[in-house]
Amino acid sequence: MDNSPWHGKRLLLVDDEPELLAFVSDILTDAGFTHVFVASNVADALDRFGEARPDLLLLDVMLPDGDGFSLMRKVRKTSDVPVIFLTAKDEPIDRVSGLGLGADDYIPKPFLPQELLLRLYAVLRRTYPAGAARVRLDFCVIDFDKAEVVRDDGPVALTAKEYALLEVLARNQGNVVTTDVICEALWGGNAFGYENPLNAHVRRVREKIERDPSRPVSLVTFKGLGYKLNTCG
Amino acid sequence: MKTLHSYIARNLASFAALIVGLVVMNALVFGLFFFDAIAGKTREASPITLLDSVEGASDASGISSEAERELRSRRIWAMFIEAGGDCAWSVDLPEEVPRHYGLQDVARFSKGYIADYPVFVRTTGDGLLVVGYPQDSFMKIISNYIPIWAVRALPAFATTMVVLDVTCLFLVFWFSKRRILSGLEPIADAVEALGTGKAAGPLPKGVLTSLSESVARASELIVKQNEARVDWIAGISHDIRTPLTLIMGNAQIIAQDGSIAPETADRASVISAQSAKIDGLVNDLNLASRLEYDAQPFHMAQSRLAEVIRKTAADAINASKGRDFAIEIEADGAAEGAIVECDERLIGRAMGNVIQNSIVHNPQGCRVRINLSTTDTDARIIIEDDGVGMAARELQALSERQKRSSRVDESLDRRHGLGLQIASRVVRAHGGRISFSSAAGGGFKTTITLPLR
Repeated sequence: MDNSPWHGKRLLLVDDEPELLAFVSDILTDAGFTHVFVASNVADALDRFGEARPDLLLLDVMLPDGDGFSLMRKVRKTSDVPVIFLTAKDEPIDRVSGLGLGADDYIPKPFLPQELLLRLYAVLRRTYPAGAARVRLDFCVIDFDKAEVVRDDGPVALTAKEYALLEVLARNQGNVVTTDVICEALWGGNAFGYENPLNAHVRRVREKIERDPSRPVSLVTFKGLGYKLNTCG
Repeated sequence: MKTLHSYIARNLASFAALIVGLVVMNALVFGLFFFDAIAGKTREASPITLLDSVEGASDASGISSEAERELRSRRIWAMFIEAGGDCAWSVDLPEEVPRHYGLQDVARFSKGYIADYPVFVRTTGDGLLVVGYPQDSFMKIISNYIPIWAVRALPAFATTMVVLDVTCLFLVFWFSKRRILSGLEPIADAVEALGTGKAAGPLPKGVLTSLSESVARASELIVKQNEARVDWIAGISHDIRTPLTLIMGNAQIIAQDGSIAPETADRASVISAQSAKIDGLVNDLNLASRLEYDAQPFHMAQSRLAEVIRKTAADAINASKGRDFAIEIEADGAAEGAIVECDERLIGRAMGNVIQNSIVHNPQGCRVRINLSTTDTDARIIIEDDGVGMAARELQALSERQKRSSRVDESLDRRHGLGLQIASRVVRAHGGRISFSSAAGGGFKTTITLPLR
């Protein structure tokens, strides 16, 4: 998926470990982000927040002069900026309190650069959907802006459900997504018993995106488990 | 508590023996002590014998000198009252004893005393033979009559009293036992808990307050030590994450840098993979210590088990990129909808550990089949791989560790199988069962049973 539309977004990274700060800001810069700001404590972060007007916050939970949760609460009084927590704490209670406060994601350390970027783009895409999104597959390109599949023989339109199906798979590209998660994306919470309609949608999507729908290579099945979207490039 | 009960039961038996012994001893001592006074009636020195011999040695006119000597030697006086009431003869008759008696006098002394001398009377053909003993030698009960019903009731009464006494003693013993037990029970339970390294529950105040207090102090100390331990491990696992992020992240960046030599990229991949292993280890250690010391909060919720299984399996597949590894899930219609009250994350972790175990022990790759089925009361998850399996000896060691895994030190000492131990701990904490088996031809099978809501 082409992520360059979000590279102009302003990111504020707050962590008290200087090595980690340098490492993460390197990853972000290398990925193409042009406005990465850093802070190492709450006071510093609030100052930076005022100056830089970031579009997204990456926060550590434990900071020398306070914690990430209260920092987020302060920031949220004046702004709806998305927040991702980066923290060594992976206890469920922290996860609950982070997401309960309205955090957009929570990435436990240790994390891999790719994972960080994947989840960062996912949050950016959700919050700032204006950016064009195209995903290249083996046989075609999905253009999420126009909700169509671009093939050599011309564009094919996607229905709303097909779009939602491809969107949730593309957001987790390269990973297996369970039928539960897909059904929830297509039919809303507690979507239980939708396996058959889902199969039908998958079949129709394959007819649009696969060279040979009976032997799929892009939208692959994991029996009893879910589906995975294999992307190219 | 069992030991305490058997201790008390032994005590009860010896207490019963003690009571029987006491009764027998009382009877014996009583008998020995009063035997002389009671049985003495028929002996030589008794008044009856004396009267017999004096009667034989005397008549209305006098007494033989031999009998007279005998009476004197024992400081006993005697007299003979003839039918008219006058004293016919006497031996050592004291001054204050009258010499003449009317009908009233005879009626008064015949069963009792003359001038405070206890006297014994024998009626002969022509008068009364009277012998008088020294003043302090006998007590005569003059008005000794008892209603006949009282005499008849005496044996039953005595028996009832003995039974009543014994019952009372038993009751006293029983209640004092109960009281001690109710005081000791919580303390004994607490000490038992302390023995397994756990904190003791609240202890009551009472007869054993000082004992409770010292147990409570010991318990507090253990709680503090346990907390310190959990915090210590949690602290290490927290602090190690930042350096691990840097190691793993940099290694991954190097591994994916197209401009370096392939061998260098491979080495960087090894660093990345091994760092991920360290992370897994630290997570396991942290969770094991939290579970052991009850520091792990359980967030119970109604969860659809099939969904949890799928999520766990998807996570395992997504994390095992590039390995020859596949998971298949089977669940029939009823099982698909099965709802279980559980902490989704921990149950997911338990199953994830089992799957991880299959991946780690089968570097050449394996297929994992997960089957979910239900009965009326339980949900059963079978996780089975087609890998190398586990040697019988190793399997034995695993199930033994499972049995005595209340001692965390032992399980923490052995890294191997920590993941499976965490799985069994989590399952048991949910009221479920877990068992491991391995066929001779290979393959490792884990069966998890969880109660349906």
